[in-house]
Amino acid sequence: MTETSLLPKAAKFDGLSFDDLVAEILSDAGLAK
Amino acid sequence: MRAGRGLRWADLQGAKPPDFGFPLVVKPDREGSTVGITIVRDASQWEAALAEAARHDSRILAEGFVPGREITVGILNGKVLPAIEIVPKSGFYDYQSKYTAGRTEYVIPVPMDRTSCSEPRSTRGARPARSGFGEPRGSTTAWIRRKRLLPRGRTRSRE
Repeated sequence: MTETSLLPKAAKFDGLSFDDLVAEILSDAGLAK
Repeated sequence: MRAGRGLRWADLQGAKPPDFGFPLVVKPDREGSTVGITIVRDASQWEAALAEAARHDSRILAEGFVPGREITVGILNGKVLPAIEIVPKSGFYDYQSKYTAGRTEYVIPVPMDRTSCSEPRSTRGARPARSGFGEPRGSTTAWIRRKRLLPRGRTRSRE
């Protein structure tokens, strides 16, 4: 995923920056989930 | 040959096209970004399509072609993000359309008749993901084409 990928485009429209999107993805990542 | 299931290239040598008719889509089973994909319009293109897919994977997939609009919906931690309509200028969202600036228009918000097409809903506990689905013109059915989880296990991104 890069800044020009589709998910960041949608997130940006919803007010979420690329950095914030990455942080949110990482916060949800985990082997136990 | 069956739709939705990749078969070994070695088993497809000389095989006839599947019986679900044309057009159909032939693709490598384990690739992405439209690499190695051919929209097969008639039987004369079948063998070349298999050979092209086989350049990228030893397993090959054939699917029925679903015409219509292409709309992708991101889901982030259970929250549905705004949908995006993908409008490639060439008519086919291939590798060049994906990765060459100006070759595709991304429409947000998506003009959609809410009475004729069901909306994707938030899935409790869903991981970050993206779903692509199409709304065939003149149809009331949304076809979910694929669901993907992010991040994918790639050494580099082609998106």
